[in-house]
Amino acid sequence: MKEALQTNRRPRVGLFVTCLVDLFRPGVGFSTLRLLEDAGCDVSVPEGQSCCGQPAYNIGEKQGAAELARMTIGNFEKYDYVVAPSGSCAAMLKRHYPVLLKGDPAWELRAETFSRKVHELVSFLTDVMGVKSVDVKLKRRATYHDACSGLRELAISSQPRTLLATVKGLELVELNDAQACCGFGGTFSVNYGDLSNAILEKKVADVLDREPDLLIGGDLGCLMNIEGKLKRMGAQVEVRHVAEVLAGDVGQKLPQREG
Amino acid sequence: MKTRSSNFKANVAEALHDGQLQKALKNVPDGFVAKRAKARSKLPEFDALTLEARQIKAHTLEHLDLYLENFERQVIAQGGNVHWARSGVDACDIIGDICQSNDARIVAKSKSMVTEEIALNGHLERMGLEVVETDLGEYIIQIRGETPSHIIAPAIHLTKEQIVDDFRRVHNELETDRALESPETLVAEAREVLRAKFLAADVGITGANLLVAETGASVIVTNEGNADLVQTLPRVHIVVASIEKMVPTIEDATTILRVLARSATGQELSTYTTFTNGPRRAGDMDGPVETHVILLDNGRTELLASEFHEVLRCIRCGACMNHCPVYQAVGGHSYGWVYPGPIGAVLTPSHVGIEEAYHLPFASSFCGACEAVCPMGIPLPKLMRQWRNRAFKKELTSRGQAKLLKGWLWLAMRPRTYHRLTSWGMRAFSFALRRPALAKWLPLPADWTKHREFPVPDGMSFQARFKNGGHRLTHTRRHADKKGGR
Amino acid sequence: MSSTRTHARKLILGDIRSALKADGDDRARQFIVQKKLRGHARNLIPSRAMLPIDARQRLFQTMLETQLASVAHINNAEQIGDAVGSYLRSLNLEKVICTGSDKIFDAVDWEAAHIARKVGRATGDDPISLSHADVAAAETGTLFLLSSAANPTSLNFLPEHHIVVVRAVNISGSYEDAWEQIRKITGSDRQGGVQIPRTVNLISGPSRTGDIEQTIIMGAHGPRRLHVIVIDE
Repeated sequence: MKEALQTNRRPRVGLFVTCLVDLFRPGVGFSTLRLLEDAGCDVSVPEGQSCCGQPAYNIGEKQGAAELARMTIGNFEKYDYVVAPSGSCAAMLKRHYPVLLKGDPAWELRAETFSRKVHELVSFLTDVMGVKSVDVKLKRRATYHDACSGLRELAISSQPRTLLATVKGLELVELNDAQACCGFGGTFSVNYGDLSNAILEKKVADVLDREPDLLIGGDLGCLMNIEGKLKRMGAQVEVRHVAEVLAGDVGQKLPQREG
Repeated sequence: MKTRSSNFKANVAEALHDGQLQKALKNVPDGFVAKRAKARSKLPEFDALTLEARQIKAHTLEHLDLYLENFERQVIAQGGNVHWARSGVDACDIIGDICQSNDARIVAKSKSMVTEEIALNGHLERMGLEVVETDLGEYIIQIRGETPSHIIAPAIHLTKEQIVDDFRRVHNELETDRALESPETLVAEAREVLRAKFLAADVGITGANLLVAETGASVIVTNEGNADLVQTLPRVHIVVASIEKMVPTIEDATTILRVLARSATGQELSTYTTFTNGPRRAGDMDGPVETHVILLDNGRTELLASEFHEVLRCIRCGACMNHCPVYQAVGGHSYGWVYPGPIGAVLTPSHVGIEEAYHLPFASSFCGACEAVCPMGIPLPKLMRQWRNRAFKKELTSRGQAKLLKGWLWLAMRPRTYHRLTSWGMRAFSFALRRPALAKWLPLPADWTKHREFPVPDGMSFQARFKNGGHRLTHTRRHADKKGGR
Repeated sequence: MSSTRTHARKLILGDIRSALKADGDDRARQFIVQKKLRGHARNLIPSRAMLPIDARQRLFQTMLETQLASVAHINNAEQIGDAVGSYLRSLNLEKVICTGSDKIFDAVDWEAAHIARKVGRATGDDPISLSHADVAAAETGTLFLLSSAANPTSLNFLPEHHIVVVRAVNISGSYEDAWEQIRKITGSDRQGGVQIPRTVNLISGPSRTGDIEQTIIMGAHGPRRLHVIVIDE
């Protein structure tokens, strides 16, 4: 599904870092940068970015979300592509910005045009840049969690598995229900904590049942949610973003606990 | 039905600690979910059929007035009566009058969610009528004095042991030492007890899965055959159906029937699918002498005019709740009203008001499984978000959180300030989180930390590092493995 | 009917029209609706419902047996008596049946088969009934039973054992073909009338329930057993 590029030059990509990567796991951002450059892109990190607006959007604050949308579009629309290492943020930009700005004559068309440039990281690598493999060695036993937004709004499922299959030595086992929600849901996890936990416990039981030492996924929100539970339980499973694995930034051994 | 939706959080806490309920709820993913997947895999045209079904309903809703008029003409031409009811109260009055004018004493019912919606049973019982639910699941909850917890399987929240206790308690004309432990004996006993009621009933009341405008038919699907006994044996048959149940032709009905059972229980077709057109014809040896169809509005016209109109495509299959992680965790009663699960989260606020029911659209992770399995393609998460918009405007949710959000938005709209503040802010936060003496002062959300460790940021933000040193990977990951938070 | 109730009709239709921003007298809309109602246009029909005759009849039987009905074959209508007798003997049941006045049973010598036949509707005391399905659909092993004196509806639901006779030639592939047959049989495809029988029962197996811990148990309220006799001639 490689999209034809308009010119012969390297595609110019605006990296939408996402607030969770920016604030909590900057390493994911650097892995993302390297993957995009290795794939042949000229990557910029515009300063005019902060949050995609999901928290506002999902709590019912449409106006605030729309303001962020306009700012983001304004700062990113000049690039050939806009790539985010997160299914939920990419879906927000791609699917929901046009919805938010529909009916606004100045922005409706700009949002549509912008939307066509937006991609989640891994599906961008495989479906647009035609990346078929990565040159990484990682001899570990891992399992993969399909984040809901990426899965259902952007049809991301086979792409990460395709690339992970080329990681030399990686034993990737499937969860019993990889597509089950982890219970994060953004504000849901802090407003309906018991419910969120009940759903999370099922996901974690599934993870532990498969006995990996590494859990991989494409969305930091989900990953930090699952990791938080694993840590509370004292479980020895490392949790890393798929960008870090594919960029070779994950250690060959399960990190030892300190203290 | 009295609502308990505003009590949602307490309902959830109760449900999570209910051992019997949790045991019973395991049947949802193991049963309906697995069976639907199997049925879908056995019919290659399944997805294409759902697209057609969606178009049929959309077209019908666009011309609903004309199809209703045609339906009415057909029913009357075949000797039936049609009544239009604006509200649930009106419908109850009409039905009560029909029962009264027929000197009815016993009313037999098949499962009908719309009659729950209008609280029909209570109305008839207050008039002195004996109302008997004949669907086994509905009968069980009737004798327990409960409401259905699922729109297809009303007693799904109960274990066999609970049902045995109920039968022993209520069927006291039977031998006390009779064997009653197996599902077979329970069903045999229900068959015996309810048979007498079928034969004695003066009035039979059914709902309708579909109404067919072309022929004036009401369509009912069951596996037990109880609805057929209800609509064949008594002298009077009343159909209660909300107006959006309409489809244009028999061919449209069959398309929807192809996806209904498969979506609901994973069956190819319900054991009994019946098209009924009115009272006895000349020469008929059985069947009701008098039939009535109650066309109920009760908020549908309002929905049709609103941003929620897509929800009117619902055919009440229950697939959404079967696949919902929230429903699977707490079952239907937590939602506090008639319709549970994702469809309940959208319908309940429209019936009882967003003030009473705002928790329901918020208590969702927006995983989207419901929309993915809905045979009518109803965008349930989008509709829930629309309710969230209304709740936010009415300031129904946490004011503290709204203020926090406002602050966050203010900052996010000023990226340079945002980057400066967060770079140092995250370093400080990370520092504090890693020291229990400091961490306990941090305002971490209790709903998170009750169950999970709070994520420890790696320190300087990406934006700050990128600005300072480009591509150097300077993360301090090893610090993150220390326990953080409270 | 009180004036508030006739008013309800006006209000509901009026509200629908303002919601749709539509005019009840709009000729174009009316035309679309009438065209749809008269056209009986078919939607997508699954390939499973369009099999050639042999495969279709095998599918019909397989679907019924999967649904826990039993299926037997005979060559002509005269053999119905023996087939029914054989079924009753196999289950040690008394040889009494309740049927309607369907003409297909005229050919049967009930005395020779030692079967006591009551003609009429079923009551709560009739253990066994016999019906004739005019039409069937192979796609899900579904029998279509039309209500009339020939086949009273109560026969389909009250007795514990329900036996249904169907001619192989009347087993359609799809529901749509079955309904087209019904329209022909009842004359409702002719100008003017829509006289579908009072009740059309689509029956795909014996009665069952899953209401106790999702365990499937047979014989909830309707027949515990469904036995289908296919006339192959």
